[in-house]
Amino acid sequence: MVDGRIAGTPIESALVALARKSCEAPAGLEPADLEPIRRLAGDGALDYVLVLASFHFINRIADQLGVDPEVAGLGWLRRMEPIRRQIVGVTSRLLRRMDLANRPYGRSFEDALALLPASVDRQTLEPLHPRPHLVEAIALAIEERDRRSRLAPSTLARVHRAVEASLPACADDAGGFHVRPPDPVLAFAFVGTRYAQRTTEAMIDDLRAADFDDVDLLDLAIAVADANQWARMHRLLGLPPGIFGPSQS
Amino acid sequence: MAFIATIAPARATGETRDVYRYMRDVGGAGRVAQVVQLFSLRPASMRRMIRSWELAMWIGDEPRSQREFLAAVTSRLNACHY
Repeated sequence: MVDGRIAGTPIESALVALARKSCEAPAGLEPADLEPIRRLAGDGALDYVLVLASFHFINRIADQLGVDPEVAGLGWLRRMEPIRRQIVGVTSRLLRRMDLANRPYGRSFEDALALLPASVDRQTLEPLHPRPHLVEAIALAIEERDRRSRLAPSTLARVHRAVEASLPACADDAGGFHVRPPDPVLAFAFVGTRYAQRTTEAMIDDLRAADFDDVDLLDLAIAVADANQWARMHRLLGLPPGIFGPSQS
Repeated sequence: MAFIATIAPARATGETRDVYRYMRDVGGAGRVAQVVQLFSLRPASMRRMIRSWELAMWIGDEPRSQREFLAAVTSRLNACHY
């Protein structure tokens, strides 16, 4: 159920159950949580893991960097149900204009593995063999962290550990009130992991006071979002956490 | 207003403009979502975000409608108003 409404088909019910646990108790996710979807969709369950993990990434980027609404000027109005429904209607019409057909993937599993740095043990990614595009998604996250982020490796490692330590183990962790760490980087990772929509301008100001500029803030949000994405992926797929673990302790 | 500076598609030049074109090619809707624009200070990161989105939503065998359903449910449960 989402907001009291029961999802329709068996696959929709299974997807809602998985999404709920991924939000409320991701610390306890395990491969068994994917089994109901595997029974209904076979290897297609891997497609859904990537969708789920990707939206944990995208939601955090949106909330931690204060995304503007798609319809300018609506601001707080989008939180009102009638207005929100109108926006959903507009979005639905836009979606209908998009290309919604699945697209072919041009890489074999071996080709996708070649995108990874040599340090990654290829054998551990064998569970992804039926869906090599998940390997590319992991390779893109590693490349972002290792080749583009301006954050020091020690900071990236600190953020990654903070995300893992902050992962909700129960619904209260994901929605209650908690004391957040005094360190602005750790506070950003803590709030971004538990309830990214509570990120405030004051938290951003604290980071700016610690010499974070706009690009550093982008990199920090990406680091928090990627660690949250990976936290769900590796647990559900039974992959070694160290594939995208901290590069420096 | 976003917490960081962004470059709107109409003001983009060079690599940033090229990546916005890539976004329109991938999305096919002729517009660039605000969440994508958050990455505009670094075009390479924006290109990665767009490619990751394409991998999640277009590649694979599962129906797009069910992927959109899962994306919407996840966003709702995350209380992400975007």
